Amino acid sequence: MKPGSKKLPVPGPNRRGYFPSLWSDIWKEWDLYLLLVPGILFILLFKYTPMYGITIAFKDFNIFTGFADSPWVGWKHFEKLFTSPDFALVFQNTVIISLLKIIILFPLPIIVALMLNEMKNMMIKRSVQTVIYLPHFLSWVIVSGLFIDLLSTNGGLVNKLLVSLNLEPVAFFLDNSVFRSVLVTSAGWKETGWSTIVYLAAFSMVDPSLYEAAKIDGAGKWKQLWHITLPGIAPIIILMFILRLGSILEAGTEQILVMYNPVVYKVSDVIGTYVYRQGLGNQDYSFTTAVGLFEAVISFTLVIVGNTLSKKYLQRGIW
Amino acid sequence: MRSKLRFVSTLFVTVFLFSAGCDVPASEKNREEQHKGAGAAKSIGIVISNLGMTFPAGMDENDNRYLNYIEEQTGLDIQITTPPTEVYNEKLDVIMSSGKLPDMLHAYEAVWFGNYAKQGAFQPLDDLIDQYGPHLKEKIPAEAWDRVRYGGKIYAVPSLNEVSGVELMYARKDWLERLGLQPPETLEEYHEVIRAFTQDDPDGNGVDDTIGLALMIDLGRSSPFFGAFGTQLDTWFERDGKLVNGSILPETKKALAYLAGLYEEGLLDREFPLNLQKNLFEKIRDGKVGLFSATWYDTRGPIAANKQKEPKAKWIALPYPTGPDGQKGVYETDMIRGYNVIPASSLSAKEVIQFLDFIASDYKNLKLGFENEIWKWENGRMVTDFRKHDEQLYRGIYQSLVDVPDPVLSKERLDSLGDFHLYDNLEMIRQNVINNEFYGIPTPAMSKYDKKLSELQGIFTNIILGIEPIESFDRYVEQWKREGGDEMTREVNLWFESSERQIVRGNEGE
Repeated sequence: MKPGSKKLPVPGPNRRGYFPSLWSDIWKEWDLYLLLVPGILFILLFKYTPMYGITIAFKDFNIFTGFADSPWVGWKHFEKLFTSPDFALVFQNTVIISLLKIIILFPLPIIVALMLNEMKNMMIKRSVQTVIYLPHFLSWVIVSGLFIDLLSTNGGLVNKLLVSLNLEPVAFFLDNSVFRSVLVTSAGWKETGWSTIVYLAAFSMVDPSLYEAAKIDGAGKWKQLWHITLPGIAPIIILMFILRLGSILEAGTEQILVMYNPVVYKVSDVIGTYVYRQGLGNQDYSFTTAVGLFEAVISFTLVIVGNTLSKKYLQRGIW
Repeated sequence: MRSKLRFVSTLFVTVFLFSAGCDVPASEKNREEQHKGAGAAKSIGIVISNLGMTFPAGMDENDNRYLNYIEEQTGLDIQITTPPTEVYNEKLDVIMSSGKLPDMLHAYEAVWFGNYAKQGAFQPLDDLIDQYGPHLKEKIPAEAWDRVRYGGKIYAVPSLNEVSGVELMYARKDWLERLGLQPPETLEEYHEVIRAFTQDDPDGNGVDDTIGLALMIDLGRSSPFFGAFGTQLDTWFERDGKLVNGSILPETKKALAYLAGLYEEGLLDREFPLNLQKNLFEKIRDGKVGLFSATWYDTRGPIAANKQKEPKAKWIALPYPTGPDGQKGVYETDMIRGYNVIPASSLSAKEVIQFLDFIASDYKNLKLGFENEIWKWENGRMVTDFRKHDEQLYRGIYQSLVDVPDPVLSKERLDSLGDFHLYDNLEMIRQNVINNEFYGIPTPAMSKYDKKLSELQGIFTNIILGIEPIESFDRYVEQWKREGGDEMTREVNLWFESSERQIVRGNEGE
């Protein structure tokens, strides 16, 4: 509201800024604010308190001497991180796999949702929806087992097909040039259906009268899609994209952990799997906390930058 | 009025949310009380491996006849947790870093044990063993106790290995006969048999679906082929008066070249780096595999499963492959099979020692099974009821915590187990074991670099698969030395020169 426009009864003395009005608001509606308390306590207790543990990134942590008594070592672990040849490779793998997943898998649910949205027969639409949701509920261990069998060179379906087409069989899980494709494909198979839910919900936000108006103006299906549906769900797409940017350094640790093997470490060892092997396997807790902290800082920066750019150029952001 | 209602309901919701968050489950409370109660059995919580065993219907690791028997005899209430075998070591690390420690853990790796012992994670056990472990003291030899000492104190109750080695070569005899081949002995003969098993349709079904030689992930089940070149991975050899690690010997390069040759010709299981034990067993059972390095008890496992599925299948133990210089053999297993450790925080150390001491004292009932039920003496020979024996194999989960070999009962037992050549297999292995010349406690560098150095060995699989040329072995050796291997070698040689070793060898009396 612009100052000087028609006066409305604004609660609180708005001359003194935002917070005083918040306090008076709390004073007036204290019982509603009371409902917030458990949530805030939860976040303080389970999200903020553990952040104390980040200090071990700057210590030589020994689990038996404890947080407080382990000696401080400054930036030692970060220096090790940035000079380690392992990490360069791991970082590169993470970014490549993550970008592949974003480029290929981010638009996929939007396309699928658009296609589902155009479906006339409700029966078929619902059944298709249910069937493509299902893989989401399988654990990665199971999905990995399925793909190993499917892509096996000892009688796997895909290789049988290749052989019948007179092509060379491919050991998908042992081949550095195709293993990333296996990762992206299996992630797509598992999660695409589930991710359509958000977009399908977003379609209901689009005002139906716009379609009627467009129809009267003679717009066909494609024009409607392009000029009404897509702009209508654009805020959701941007929101999802910014959130996705935040997890760019999380290339699918759980998935890779159950699917990779030493032969393809070169192309598939990502930050998450590296942290897991070093941290638990070598009990190098401090170093891996440093890695984790580094990852978190990058993700945080990406979300802020993404949101700022989005607000600047698209006039939309998530806050 | 409205506001009052709102206040009450808000308060109600808030209080409800709080209490939901802070509720202590009733069972926990009961347990705590039970713990304090004087008369009730004292409870200990232990973490052990289930060794991949299954239980008869209606029983589990916390409720079965053998555990109940142990609980009855010791007057303890034993709570057992069994992490999955495939990730057992990882799970132990998770537990150790969780801050919620059990009263006892059973670990398999010397380096793992040494690592935590040095960090002060475990209780010293000397006094407790003196007081509560007479059978442990009697049955576990001094050299085993030496291996669990750090700074002069005992930090684990060791479990001993009954056998000196594990693997020997087994082949499909019916395939050899069908193709008119003799059991192979030299590497060339092995090569020919592997080739024929892969390409000449040994099962006669007209389909190209057989595997000449099956290996496993991380080069599992490949040991005899390294033995043919006079080397073994992760084993210390004496060369010119110094100890060197087999993983970097030129002989190992030759063995890798041999295996890479087999792979290039298409004679190895193409997907062996993906073979977990389960996959390997399936392939053997389904009659796809002609030759593999079996464990001495696989004759009761996958080989028996294959015979059951294909009644015509016959298997034969082969001589170990002999290399160009007449060398052969298989890796030696460590004298210690497992380590029972008690975390420093445990208040029930005494009870744990009593529990372990009981296991060591009752070899007969726990190792062999209940007398007169599973086995009995008939005319001076031991006779085993096979079906019952198999059904109650799960007792090994408890018994193996403190295995104390008994050579007299051992042969009787193995012979009574029937037609599986268990005793012959073990004899064959015993005669061909390649000794590991280092048998001290893990050196500091081992604790530090062990994981890292074994991860470097990932390159071996790449070499065999032809992803990297055999020359990259030399680069690996350089890296191995640089990243801790040299330090480890230095420490191992210090041990080798020290008098400590001479004493232990003297006791062995080979």
